[in-house]
Amino acid sequence: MIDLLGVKIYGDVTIGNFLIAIFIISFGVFLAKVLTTNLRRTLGDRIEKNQRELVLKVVYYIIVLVAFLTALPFLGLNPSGLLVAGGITGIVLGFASQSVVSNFISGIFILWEKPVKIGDQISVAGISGYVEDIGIMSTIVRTYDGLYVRIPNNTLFTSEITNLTGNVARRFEYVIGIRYSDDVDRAVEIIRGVIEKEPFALKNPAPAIFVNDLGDSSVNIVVRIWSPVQVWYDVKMALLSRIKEELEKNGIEIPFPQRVIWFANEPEMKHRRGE
Amino acid sequence: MKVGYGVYPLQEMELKFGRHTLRIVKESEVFRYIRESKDGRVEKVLASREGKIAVNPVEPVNLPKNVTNYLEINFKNTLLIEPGHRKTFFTTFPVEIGVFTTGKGDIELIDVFSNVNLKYSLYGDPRNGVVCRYWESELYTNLPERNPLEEGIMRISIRNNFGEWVEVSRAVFNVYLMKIYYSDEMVFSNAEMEILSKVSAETKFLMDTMRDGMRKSVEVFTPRKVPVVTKRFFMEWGV
Repeated sequence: MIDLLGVKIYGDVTIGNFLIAIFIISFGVFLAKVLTTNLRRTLGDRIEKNQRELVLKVVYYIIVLVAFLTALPFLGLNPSGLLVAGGITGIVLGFASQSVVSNFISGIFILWEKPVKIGDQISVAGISGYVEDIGIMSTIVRTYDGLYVRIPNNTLFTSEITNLTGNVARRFEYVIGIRYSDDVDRAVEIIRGVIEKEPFALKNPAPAIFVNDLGDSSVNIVVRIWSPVQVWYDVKMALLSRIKEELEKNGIEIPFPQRVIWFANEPEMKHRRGE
Repeated sequence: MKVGYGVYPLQEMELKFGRHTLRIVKESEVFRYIRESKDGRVEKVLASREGKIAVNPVEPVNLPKNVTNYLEINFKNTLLIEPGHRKTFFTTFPVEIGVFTTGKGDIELIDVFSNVNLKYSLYGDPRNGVVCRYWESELYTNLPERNPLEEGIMRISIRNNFGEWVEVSRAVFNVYLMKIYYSDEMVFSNAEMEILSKVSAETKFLMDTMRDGMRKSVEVFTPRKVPVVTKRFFMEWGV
């Protein structure tokens, strides 16, 4: 058995050395996993998920890197020698792994710049959804219809990112048309009353309600409301129907598109009909 | 039917809190918690052999759902305070009522409700500001009387540390570390505001109660987060 372990695979590296190297790397990975699992449990919800995942990733990769560097001498590789021997090999590898390195560097910049966080809703490169994970190489987005999309960090970093939940509050807008015969001031007052009753329609910035357009069939009132970003879509969905109900309850109607047609020869037609 | 905050043994009972009625009904091995109001009905099953029910005012940022830890009290009558001056006022704050159950182990929040209107606001800008529970109150120089099921009384000591007169129209608080005390007559909290410039101030909650015999509320928010929760809130977007 001892003889078997002493069998050389290449150079001075024996099977024993090889097994030790595998053991060190496996132990490193095992240790990293145990430590990050415990760390995740300990941190719980005490820090933001985004920061927690970043800490866990850093801890994980540092332990694995240390294990890997520790194992290298057993495989006959001297890390300091690698630096010297880099040269042309490094350049070749650099070109070959250009996209990998590009994604890696982009990942570091994304984690540094933090244009997005885990849990944010983003729209990037034609994809919209929730950020599930930000990795070193790629970012995972769960689209609104539940699809798993992996975006390479290079694509994410070089694209225009719209973070839909990056600020604490956001604004949404309705255009509500009423009949020309309706009282505009009364309609504005009713809409204001409905908004006032909604807790998450923010008091400040105050909602803006004004006549924006005299349309073909209706007087168009624009309603702009600010809401906390966590609930803005719920508020947007709920408020419009409440406004419609309240307007109708007060006799103010939202008209159908209509067109009044006057015939040029109408007096003549009336005359023929004997009117 | 009982009316009032307090700690009750887990047993069949009925409590009235403004427009809300709380009932605990025993059903074979479990208890059923029921809260009814004109807004609807909340029902939960409590699987506990023996325990207690605590009903007390809690930090007013839980309803309709928790999106913030901040409370903004807007003063209806603006205060002008001279440099170096300190003055104690009373304001009101909205009361939310929390129902907790205790037994073996931790204390658990069952339900939160309120008898007052809910409104939120943004303090600062949408990028860096904070969403706050919004409340308007007079600045009283004497202790006002209020329905403890609707409004609490906050004693606020305002000190102008700035070298000029300052106009104060609001106070924003982080409700972490908000201490609420209650009795049958009053819900009370104690706070302090230090004005640092024309547009900035620091606020914090104090631990003192108003009168002897007041009970301290069980809190929904406790500083569980790892980063040290500062006892003060820095108002940097205007006072």
